This record gives sequence, C-alpha cells and structure tokens, in this order.
Amino acid sequence: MATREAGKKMIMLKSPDGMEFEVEEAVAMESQTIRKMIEDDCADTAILIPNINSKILSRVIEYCNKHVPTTGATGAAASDTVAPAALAEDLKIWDAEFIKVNRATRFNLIQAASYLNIKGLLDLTSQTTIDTISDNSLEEIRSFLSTKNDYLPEEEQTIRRENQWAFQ
Amino acid sequence: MASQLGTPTARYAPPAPSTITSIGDDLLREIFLHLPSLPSLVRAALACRTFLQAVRSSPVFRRGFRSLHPSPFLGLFIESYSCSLPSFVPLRRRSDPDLAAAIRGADLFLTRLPEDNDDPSPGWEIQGCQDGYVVLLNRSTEQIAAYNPLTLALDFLPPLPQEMSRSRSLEIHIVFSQEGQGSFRAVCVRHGRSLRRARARIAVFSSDDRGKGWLVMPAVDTATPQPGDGGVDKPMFHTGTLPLKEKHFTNFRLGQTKDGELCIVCADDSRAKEWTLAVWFWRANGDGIKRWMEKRFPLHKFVEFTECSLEDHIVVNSVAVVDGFVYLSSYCHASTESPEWFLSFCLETAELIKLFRGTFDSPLHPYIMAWPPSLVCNKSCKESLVSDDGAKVAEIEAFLLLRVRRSLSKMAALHTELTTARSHILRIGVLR
Repeated sequence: MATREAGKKMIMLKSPDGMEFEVEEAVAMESQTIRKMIEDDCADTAILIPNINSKILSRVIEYCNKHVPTTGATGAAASDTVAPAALAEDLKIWDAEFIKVNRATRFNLIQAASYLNIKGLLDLTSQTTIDTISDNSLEEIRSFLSTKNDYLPEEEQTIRRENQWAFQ
Repeated sequence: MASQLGTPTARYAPPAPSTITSIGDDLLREIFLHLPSLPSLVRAALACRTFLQAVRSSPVFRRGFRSLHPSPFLGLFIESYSCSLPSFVPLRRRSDPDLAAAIRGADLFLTRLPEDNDDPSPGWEIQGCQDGYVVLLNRSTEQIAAYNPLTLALDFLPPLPQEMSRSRSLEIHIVFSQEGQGSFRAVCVRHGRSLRRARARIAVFSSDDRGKGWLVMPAVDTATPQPGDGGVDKPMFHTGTLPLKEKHFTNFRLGQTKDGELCIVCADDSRAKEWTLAVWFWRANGDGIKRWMEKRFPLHKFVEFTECSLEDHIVVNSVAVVDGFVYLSSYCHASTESPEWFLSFCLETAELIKLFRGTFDSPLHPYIMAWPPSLVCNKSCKESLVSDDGAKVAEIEAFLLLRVRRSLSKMAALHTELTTARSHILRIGVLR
C-alpha cells in the first residue's frame, strides 16, 4: 500500500482468507457499515470482514481510495486546484475503467458494496448490470445475467399471454 | 485482537456468488431499482422465476420503484366524431427502447373489440382510461367493454339497467382495488337535469359478483338551488368541501397524486392575465385532519414554456390527472401561428414536458401503462391484500375518482353524495 502522510489514522481490514489491508480510517469510513462501527467505538485497529475475499476486498478498497476525497468525509482534502466538474468527469472515467470486470466479479462487488453499505459502488455495479440488459430480448437478458428460463409450461403460458409485447 | 463486523444478517448472502440469482432477492431488487422504466422492469422480471418472485413478493419494492419511475405515458387516444374507433398517437422517445417495445407490441388499434356488422356507426366511444384499461361504450349495441391493450384482457360488462341507459350524459368509470387482481368495480353515473334540479344516479357493478349485475343507487340531487340564486349553475360548496370562491372555474379533473392521495385540478379559463392552474390536494395538516389544500401554478410558466405570448391569450385545458401528473392541452386563442401542445405537468416538481405538438379539438384520453398482473401478485398472496387496510383506503379513494365534467354544482354535491355511496359500496363488500 502507498505510504501515508503522518498523523492520519490508519485501520487494518482483514479478509477471511488471511490478507490484511492497511487503509486510512477515512477511506474505510466510505463504508457506512464500518463508519458506524468506528463511530460507535466498536472497532479495534483491525476489523475482520467476514464474507469478502481478499481479491474483492482489495478492489473495494481501491474504489474507496479513489472516491474518498470528493465525498466530503475529508472535506479540505479535496483538491483546490482542480475544478469540481473536471474532478467528477475524471471519476466517471475511472469508474468506467474500474467496472470492466467479469460477471462473477461484478456480482461479488455488488454483494460486497451492499454488505459494506457503499452507496456509490452499489449504484455503479447495479447500473452496469442494468445497462447490459436494456434493449434486449428476454433470451438475451437471460444470457447476460446467466440465468435460465425455469418456468413451468403452464406458468410460462400465462406470463406470455399477459405480456405478449415483452416477448416480441 | 481484531474485531469483526457484526454478524451479517439482512445484508448477508453466501460468499462468492457466480450468478445473479444467487445474490439474493434484496440485492436483486436493489439492482432492479436502477432500471429506467416500468417496461424495462417487466422485461427483466419475466426472465426467470427468481426475478419474478423478487418483484411479486415485495410491495415495498413496488412502491419504491413507482416513486422513482412513474408509470409511463404511452400515448394519446383521440376520439374522432367521424370514425367508429378512436385513433392512437404514440409517444416517440428513442431514449427508452423498452418503452418503445411496449408501444409497438400493444394492441392500440383495439382490434379485439367486437367488429361492427354492417353499420359501422356510431361505434366504440372511449369513456376513459384507468389502470391500463380503456373503457368503451358502444351506443348502438349498448355494450360496455373494458380492454387492456397491453395484456389483451377484454371484459364485457352486463348491459346497463333500464333506468341508467338511454341517456347522452352517461359516464362509466372502472375502479381497481390497489394492485388489483383483475377484479374491479365499475361505476356508472347518469346525469339528468331539469329547470330547477340537477340529479345524478349512480350504479355500481362488481366483477367479483357478476350474478348481481348493476346495483342502482337512489337518485341524488346534485344541486340544491336557493331562492334567488339564479338556478342550478351557481356553485354551491358545503362547508368542509372545496373552498372555492371564483365562479370561472370549470373543467374539473379528479385524480391522484404520486402517493395515491386524491386531488382535483382545474384550469381557470377566464382568459384573464392572472390565469392559474388550481390544484387542491386532499391532505392532512398539523392537526392530522384531512382538508383540501389549495396550490396555484401561475400562467407565465406555461406561456414561457409553450412559446406563446400573453397577448396570444393562451388557453390551457386539463385533460386528465394520473399518478401526480396533469395532462394538459394548450392553444393560443388569438394567434393561429403560435404552437399548440399536449403537455404533462408534474404536481410534485412543477416540471412541464412537451409530449406532442398539434391541434387537439376532440376528446383526448392519455393512456398510461399499468403494472401487469403477473408482476404484482399471484393468487397465493391475494388474501394478504384483502386484509390490507391500506388497500381498502386506496379503494375508497379510487372510487372517489369520478370525473365531473359539466358543472361545479355537481362537483360539490357529489362529494357529499359519494360519501354515502361509497359506504354503500363498502357494505356490499362486507356482506359478500
């Protein structure tokens, strides 16, 4: 991990597969779940994240690191030299690059974002999933979301009858 | 020693999901909230049982989705006096392909309605569009049909009883219970007036109790003329009803706000410079008692938006109020060159949207997509709906959604009369 400026409070995040990540407290607090824990004084200097493996956790931390200065938690840390609009544009480009992952990783990120309660990441991962299915036939939606048609024949008949337009 | 994040409960799902169905219903719904519109939700939800069940099983999700994505306007039925069927003008928005698919796939030509035999006139006449259904009356065959062009559900109502039919001033409305399971009540209002009296007769039909047919209520006076008040057209408002002082309000529309509360919208057609769109919301204030709360939207908003000028004498007519949106048609009284529009106006944000440009001089019926029954509920959860007080309340309010076109006096008196009528209807519901 990059070296931190002196005086910043650091916190250790541990994944269940034994990896440890040292991050700034402000970065960890991008997660509302961790923030609440810290604010309620229930956190030691190390926190075990029970159901997110190291691969996903490192991506989540990467996301939080990138997003921390603009979300107000560190207030003055936001750059004074870069216009907010340019900063937002830069973040958008970064997000688009960040989310270029395979489907399984994206679903894992959705789950991690939800569990850790990181709204920005949850929105990003959900929206990306939605974008892949918009303007597609039901068959294509099934293939994009790796799910299959598991209706009973009579169920499917009813659903088709009631929603003919959606099957066209 | 490391502390551990609290035992994952609601937010927990087993690690390492590799398919979307394994991430759990809560997360699935979270993702679905990002879909752009109801048609896109329908498509996504129908992909498999897991998705469909996630939508069906959560009224909270449906409420959330509705508040983010209002049911979409698909287009406009325009009645034509010279045709035996209304025509449809579709909304064209490239930004939402699923919405376009719904318009493309719906039977908006109403082809399933019984065909005319040799005599094509006068044909089918739209009474209104409600909950995805188009209610039509055929005056020559006296048939009443409720047709949903998206689900292709077609229902015929029994013929009207003698005392209701044979009148030009009939209004038929269909009222579904909240998230209706295809069961509905139809309300028919027959207006009659003589020199000194205005009377209305209301008949109710319940689709759950077809055997009983139409239940006709006793006729009610819709105006109580006082000596010297100049007849029945003078508005009479009971204490506690609409606090209306001006006389130049006509063309009332009843509808519901986004949160399902009753509201009344009225365009003031006095053509005065201080023209307003008046809206009354049925809302509780600090003391918790519900009253009519008035809010006015001034003319200049519409003038600027429609590129008319005040000198053009813009006239804006309200056409319908659905789910917090007022549908309006505007035209300039003085200028034939100024553009004329069909607009939507959001009561919550006061945002105006131009839907169509054109001159509309025959009756208009905006068609708004409804949630298909397959997404709302299956039979197994119908029981929970019946015991839902909220649904009951919504049903009562929905019943109040009678449009009153012709005069203020009817409007005022109907408010009181409907209170009686709805308790009748509820009693019918209880007895059944």
